[in-house]
Amino acid sequence: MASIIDFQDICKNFKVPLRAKGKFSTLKNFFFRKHKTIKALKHVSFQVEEGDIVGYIGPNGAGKSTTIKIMSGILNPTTGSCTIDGFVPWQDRKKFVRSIGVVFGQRSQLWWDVPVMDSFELLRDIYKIPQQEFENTLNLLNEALGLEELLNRPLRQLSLGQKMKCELAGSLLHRPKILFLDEPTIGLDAVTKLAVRDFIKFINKQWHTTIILTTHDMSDIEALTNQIILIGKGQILYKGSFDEIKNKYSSTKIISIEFAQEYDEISLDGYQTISHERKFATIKNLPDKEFHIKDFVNQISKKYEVIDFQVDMISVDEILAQLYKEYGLVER
Amino acid sequence: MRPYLSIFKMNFKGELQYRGKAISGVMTQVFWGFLNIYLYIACLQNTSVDGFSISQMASYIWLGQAFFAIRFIMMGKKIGKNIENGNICYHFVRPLNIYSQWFCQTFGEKLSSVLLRFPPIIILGLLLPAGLGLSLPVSVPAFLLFLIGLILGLCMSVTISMFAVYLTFKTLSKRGSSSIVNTITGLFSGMVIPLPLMPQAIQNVVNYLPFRFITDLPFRIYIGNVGITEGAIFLAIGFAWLIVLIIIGKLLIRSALKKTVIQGG
Amino acid sequence: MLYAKYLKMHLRSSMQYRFNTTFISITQVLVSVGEVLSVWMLFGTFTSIGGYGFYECLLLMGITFAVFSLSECFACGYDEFSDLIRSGDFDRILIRPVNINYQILASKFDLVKLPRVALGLTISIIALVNLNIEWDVLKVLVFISTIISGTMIVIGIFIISAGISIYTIEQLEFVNILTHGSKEIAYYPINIYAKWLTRIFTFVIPVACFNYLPLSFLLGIGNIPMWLCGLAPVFGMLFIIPCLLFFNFSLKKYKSSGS
Repeated sequence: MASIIDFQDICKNFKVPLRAKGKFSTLKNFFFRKHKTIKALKHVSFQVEEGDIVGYIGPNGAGKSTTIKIMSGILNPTTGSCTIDGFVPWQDRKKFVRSIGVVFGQRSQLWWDVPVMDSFELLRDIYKIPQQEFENTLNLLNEALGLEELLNRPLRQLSLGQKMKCELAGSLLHRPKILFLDEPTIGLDAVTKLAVRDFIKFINKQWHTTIILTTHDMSDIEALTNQIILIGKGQILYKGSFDEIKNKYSSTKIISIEFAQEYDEISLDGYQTISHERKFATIKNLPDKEFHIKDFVNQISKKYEVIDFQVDMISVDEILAQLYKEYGLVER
Repeated sequence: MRPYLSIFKMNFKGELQYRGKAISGVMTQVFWGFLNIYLYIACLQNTSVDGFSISQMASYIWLGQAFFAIRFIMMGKKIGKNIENGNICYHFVRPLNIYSQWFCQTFGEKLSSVLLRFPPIIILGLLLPAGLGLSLPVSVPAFLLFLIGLILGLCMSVTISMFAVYLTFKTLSKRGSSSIVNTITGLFSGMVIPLPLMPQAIQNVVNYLPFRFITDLPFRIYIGNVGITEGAIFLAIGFAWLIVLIIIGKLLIRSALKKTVIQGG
Repeated sequence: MLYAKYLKMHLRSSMQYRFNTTFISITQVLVSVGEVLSVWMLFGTFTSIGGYGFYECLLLMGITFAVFSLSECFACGYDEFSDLIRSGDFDRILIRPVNINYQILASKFDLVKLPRVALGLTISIIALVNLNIEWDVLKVLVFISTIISGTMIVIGIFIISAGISIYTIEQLEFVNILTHGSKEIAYYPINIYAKWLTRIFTFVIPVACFNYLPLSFLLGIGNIPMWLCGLAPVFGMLFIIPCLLFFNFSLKKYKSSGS
């Protein structure tokens, strides 16, 4: 069976004005302006199977939004080919967009001043959804998200979390086969975040909806999927299982130590100091050295007087930070 | 004084960044200039007006286009928007006088857009043949008086802009407030039709209103329609108006601030 | 109909700010009154401008108010197209299964312009009554088609400027020559201006089709054949076709450059 999303060798270039710096730069920019080409996407290829949830992650400016815009037909790629649900997104626009739903985490598709229900009814007409189907879908979304009380209030009166719930419902009214979520949990409180995640899982199960999710919140990924695509500087760096990456880095332990007195320097064979202040220090084992508690205790008790220590697993965020660093994506 | 100077500088520089806007602004002004000149040539062909020949009229129009930024009443770009959306509260937490703060902001934006736009239009005007282009000033003293008049005009324009800010405060509608103030100013400042082309009875009133000091007076001194002595007297009246309007503006803004309910909490 | 639904939403939304809507509507009318006053003052000094009298100019001003306000109200999406791009709402339009031009038209209605339409029509009728025109069916038809044609031409101009704003957001003030320039020049009979200006606004941007050409027909004056003057509004309507073609062409550029 063919993949529902097939992204082949996509490149995307942008032209941006170049700003001169230094003395008289304002004047210089006024009279001369140069352009440079930015390669936002460099030969990006990947496939997504129907019914999958895929986390699309990468640092800011890596090309995530550009990819989503190409997949939703807003932008054309410079070169490369792409089929989504049997369509080429930038051809046959009207037919294609019926099979996708998009939520941009920081923008809204609903009307600011009118009750949410009115916006939904307008969407019903835009997508020509039969009344019966519309009601069924709405009931289902209602139950899953608890929208009942929100529908008769104007959007501007809703909290950020309530707005996001309505946005999600709005982009699912026409039951798209594929849903693009661009940072759906940004700025939400813990409870709402969990509710949104549960809902995404629910929809994926219920309708077999394929979901592409971009986020900076790694706990979203942990909760929702094991499949990730890591992009950086316009290139795909890693495709595959998230667990694999976690395993690769889980051998790293973070050890917090409290000493009995102040030391100028902490040096242990095979360990690296992360931070050190007065009687407290945090260290980690180097990648090539496996952590053994016996060896660690031996080493440290020989050289220093220790009151207490604690060993932790490396967190998901730290794994990501390390990945970015490894691929040279961290700006210094 | 320092903080106000910085506010001025920020807005002055900010405006300089928009190259495309300035170039297209100049082109628009040139087009407008031709449109107006041909219209008034059609008017003046059959009936002549004393002290306002076709070539004087053309000079008046080109000066008006060159210094359009002075004549157009605009509040600082962000002020009106911030009042509408409530972000104005950031201005309140600064240890500065609100009126002066906004005055400097508007002044900075205005001055930089004047400086960017007037040279090309003046040069073009001077290159065009007499009757269609800009003539030289009638005398050196007239030219000096014209320069003083321009400074007065710049201040007057900013001062009147502050009334648009006040109205925005009262109505929370930047768009409505600017268009009211611009309509009144446009009509009585000689921007829509040059004051010398108005019926005499109306001129007798309009000449003493503050609006004509924005640019009408300096332009008429430049083309010799108003003499040196008369011009100097009018300039004095203009400065008096300026002081009165600044005081009224300050009082209004202060009273508005006391009662204000900021949008969105 | 979807368009009506959009219109209803806009109405409900602007009713939330009743004071603001009313206030801006009133100022819009005041602006127009100011413009009428300026013409009236000119005719206080001069008896005729380029051979035309006060009521001829008033008629053209009324027509201009009406056609521009109609366009600004119903084709606001094109007029303020750069806002649509900047806010990201245009991206939203691209992912909806409805025709793009249809959605742009429905994306915004500037309802505050409607009182100005009424003012424009009132002024036109006052002028027509004072002009001593011998009315017949043909002249009524020409007047009505002038209003329709004018609106279509102005919408065409908005569409072009929307297309241009895809290439350059900064040069917007230049686009003003097209939009506001056409308005400004249409207040007076455009054949009083220099020949080159008259030609541009007859053959490139057909402002003449709702300006001096139908005016000549109604008054029965001028040396252009009457049938041509009478049919001018119909020719003017065709202007919108190349405008739409240009816009659709620019759209391709948007998709390849982002913004």
